[in-house]
Amino acid sequence: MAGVKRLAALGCAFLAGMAIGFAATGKDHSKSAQPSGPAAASLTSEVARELSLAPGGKVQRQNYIDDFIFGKMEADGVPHASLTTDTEFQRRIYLDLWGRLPDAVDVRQFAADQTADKRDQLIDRLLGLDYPHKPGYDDYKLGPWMVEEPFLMRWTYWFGDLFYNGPIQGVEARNVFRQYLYYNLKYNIAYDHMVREMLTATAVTAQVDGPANFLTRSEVDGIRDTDVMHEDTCDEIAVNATKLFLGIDLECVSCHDGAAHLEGINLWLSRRKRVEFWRQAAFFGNLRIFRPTQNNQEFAVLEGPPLRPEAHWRGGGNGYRMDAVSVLRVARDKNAKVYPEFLLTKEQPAPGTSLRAEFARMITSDLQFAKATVNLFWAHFMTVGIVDPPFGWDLDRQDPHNPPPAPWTVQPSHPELLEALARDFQEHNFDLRYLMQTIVKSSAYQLSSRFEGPWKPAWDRYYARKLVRRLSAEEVYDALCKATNVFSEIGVAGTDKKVQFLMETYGPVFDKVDPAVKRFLDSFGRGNRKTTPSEAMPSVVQASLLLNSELVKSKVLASTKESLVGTLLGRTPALSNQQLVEELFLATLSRFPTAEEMKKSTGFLERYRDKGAEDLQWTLLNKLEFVVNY
Amino acid sequence: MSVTMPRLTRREFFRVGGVGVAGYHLLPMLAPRNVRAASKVEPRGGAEVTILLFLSGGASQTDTFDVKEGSWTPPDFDIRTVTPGLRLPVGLLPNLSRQTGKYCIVRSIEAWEIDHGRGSYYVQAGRLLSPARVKEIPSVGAVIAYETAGRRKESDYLPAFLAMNVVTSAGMQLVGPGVLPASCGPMALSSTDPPPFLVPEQERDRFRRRLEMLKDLDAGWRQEDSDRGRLFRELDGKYQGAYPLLGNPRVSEVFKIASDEHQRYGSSALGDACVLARNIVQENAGNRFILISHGGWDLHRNAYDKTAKVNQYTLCTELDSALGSLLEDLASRTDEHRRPLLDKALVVCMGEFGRTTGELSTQKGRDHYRHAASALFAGGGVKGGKVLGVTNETGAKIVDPGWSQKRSIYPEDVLLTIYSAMGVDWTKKVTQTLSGRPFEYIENISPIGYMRFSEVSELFA
Repeated sequence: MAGVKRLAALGCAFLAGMAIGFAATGKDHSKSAQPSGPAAASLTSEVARELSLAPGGKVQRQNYIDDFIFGKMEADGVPHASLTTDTEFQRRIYLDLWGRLPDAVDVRQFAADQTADKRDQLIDRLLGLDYPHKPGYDDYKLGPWMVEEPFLMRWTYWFGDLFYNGPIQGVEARNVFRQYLYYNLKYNIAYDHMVREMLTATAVTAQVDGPANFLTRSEVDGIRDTDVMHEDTCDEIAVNATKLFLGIDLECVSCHDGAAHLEGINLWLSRRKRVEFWRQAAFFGNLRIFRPTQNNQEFAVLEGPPLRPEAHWRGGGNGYRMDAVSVLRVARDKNAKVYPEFLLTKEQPAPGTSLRAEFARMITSDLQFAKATVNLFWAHFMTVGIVDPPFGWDLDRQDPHNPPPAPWTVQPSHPELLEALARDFQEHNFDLRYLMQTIVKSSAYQLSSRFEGPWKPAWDRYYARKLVRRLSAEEVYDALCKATNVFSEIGVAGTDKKVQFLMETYGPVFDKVDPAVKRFLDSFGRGNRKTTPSEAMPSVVQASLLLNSELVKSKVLASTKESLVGTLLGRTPALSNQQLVEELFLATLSRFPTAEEMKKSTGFLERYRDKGAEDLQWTLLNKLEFVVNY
Repeated sequence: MSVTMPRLTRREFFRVGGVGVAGYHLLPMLAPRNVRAASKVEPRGGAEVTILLFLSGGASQTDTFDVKEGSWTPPDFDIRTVTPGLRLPVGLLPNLSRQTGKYCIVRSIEAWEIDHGRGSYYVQAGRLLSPARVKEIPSVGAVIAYETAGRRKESDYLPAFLAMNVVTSAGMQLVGPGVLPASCGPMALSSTDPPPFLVPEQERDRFRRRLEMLKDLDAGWRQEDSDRGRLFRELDGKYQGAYPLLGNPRVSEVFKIASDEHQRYGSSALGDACVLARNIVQENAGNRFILISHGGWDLHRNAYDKTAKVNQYTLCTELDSALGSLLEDLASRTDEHRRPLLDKALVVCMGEFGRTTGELSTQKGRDHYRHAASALFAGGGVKGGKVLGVTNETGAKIVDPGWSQKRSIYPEDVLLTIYSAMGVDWTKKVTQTLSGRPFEYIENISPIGYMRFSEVSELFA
């Protein structure tokens, strides 16, 4: 409780904190958070060993995030890890922002770089926000679209996962939706705009219209594949929109009132009635999603009077009927009073307005939209959301000044920070890259995962150290290819593109990957953007694949074309064992070996030079750190 | 009950290190207070392993085990009375038609769902898919793995729960361990690839060398109290689980598919999975539940069209060769006590629902249908040569359920029957879950209200 009071005080200092946050985007903020470290010009492994020890001492606060995070730890007497090393930071930020490992040469360069704000510079480069500092900057020639492709690939893929851009509607629709996401990210379009566009889209066929594909992903088939259940589709849209954009999971109350079901799960939802859910679905009553032809993957997304006389063109669009059959849910109550009314504010659409436009306006202008979005990104970068899981918000447990009755506790770990982030995001025009930049420039993001001494689980929610995550299936596979320089070509379905990284594909299912790669990905928990969400649970099969699959074993062979091991062994003049070890560590683990690792590894190479180099990279791929962002 | 309640306590994996040591890491440990039985029941017992052959997509009952004839029937279905009271499409299922004495067909199955994802979930979990509970509800296979953990022998090296050929993109999702220890979850394999833990003879020395190097170089990150967090211990636990498989020369025997057997089982992924299932049952090395998925049965279009890549003929041929050969081998092979393998292996073959009946649809296929479906039961004490349940002349309506409860047999009844045969007390429940609601192995709540589920004891009589 002391902590909560202290936090309230911090909340008052919130504006001051914001000022720091804004300064962080500029170039001139003076700070010297980076360890000066020993002279890094000639980085021997001995020096690297010292660098790998996290620097001690006080962590500099970089922006308002740090005021909240470190302020709370100070108030509650919670110790925290030191700032992570430059090399660990570099690997972390590459994986989080680009979804792939840095090049070995970049690791070397970054370690040797003496610039005080090199971390900020790297962040800006990876985000494509370094253009104002580039020579000859003028705002027509240079802009956020100058961002490098890996960033766009990573986040296009990420949003594809988020919006279920999977197999159901076929290749064409998937690709056009994918391109829509890509260009919105490339031009850094405001997120609220994107969301409104998707919620209000119309298209004679979604196969050529990107944003229309958001709604079609909620389409519900009837018993025959060609039928569309209109009211069920409205239900699914309501569930998905409130989940993705407000963080609220209405799935339970879509079938029954919250009372007598959700008391132990979610206080706010336990007070919701099913009729309130129907009122969200009713915003989509005028929508006509139907299949214009027998092609069961093609959808029209229309509104208003039918454009053609055929019966199926008249499907939907006549409101949300309570007597309609449901194939997904318990039958609707025919006597319920159902009209569009926004869940959070009870606002009803003004007469004569477009229901969907009104819903889109209400949802994106609510602070909860900003809160849910910043929390989702926070969870990506910090592994655990301030509200966690990010789609499990309990709105009755948000306000520390008005705490919920015992035994409930306030849900967010840092409610004031959440509010500050949300308002900052709103004031910056829902700029996603600004949001990412703010989070990753904080020292909170840059703490080490390593904590000397016994750790208490309760400190996790303080973010007292970096919380590690297993890489996604796609990240693991891409890391394997990048580390070994052995790629297999992937054809992107519906295009003539050939790509090397999984993150460059347009999504799971259609794109032509080698069957062995597909199995590898499935074992590592790749989702299908439809029924199976991706997950990162470790398994025995995963361990077996890394230890023993042909996929992994062939990548470390010197004889495999263009493999890193082959290239290194083929160098003239020949590399010393020490150089060989260093190169393999840099490429695989994105760090220098410690002195002890160097000693063990060179000892091994002395015994079995060529085969040993293969064995060594195999070993490094099986070091646990390889599959983890730590 | 507060949601801040910690998850079930479980002991950490035993660290066994080294290669070829018994799979103690697989032994789940739960504080007993968390699991309680509700009432005294006597599970039947007798089965030591269950093979669930899942016809993913929903097989048409009227074109397989509850065959109906009409103007739509192609002559080459060759429908005949193979034993008194049992008509089968001999043209589609020649092998199974010869072995009617080994299995019992149930024609009074009814499903609750008509969506593939939710329907296949129902069969694995025995209840409605509830988004609020999906993370805590375990698969029937995980429950069995958990309940049989005490039966594991020192020498057991196979995981208790194996899943083969579950293709997630087809709408079927593999249900995991839920609230039970992660080690009870399925090990998912594909029968079309070499299993990842076969180390070729000529690579063994090198593999050992590599492992030693790994141990040497990665000890710090894998130590008991990794200073980088719990995830590292969990990951290491999975490596510990892989070592006994990777170093074990028996594995290459068990996971071997000889080319003549590949052919005899029908030269298909399903056939290969059934060869492996047979080997695994014979090996008797700790496996208790095998889920095999056979995809493609969702024949909305051109069901009888032989030129279609997948049709009623290709699917039935695959099923008939695989399941037929499996039953033959399980019946003819014995364990070390000279007991036929089929006595201890319960085989259940079913899909998530049935299909529409009578004439084919305008698309020349059959659509989802939940009011009637069929299943096949064999082994584990099941008496063969019988049929339970009768449907009307189109196969759309169950007219005689054919068992004591005088109602349709639901997925819950099937799971309860499996639990009983496996000697698992199905009235147990796990009282502490994430949601606060207890997880009951079998819940006497159906989608339409209270329903008392029951063992289909007629299968065994």
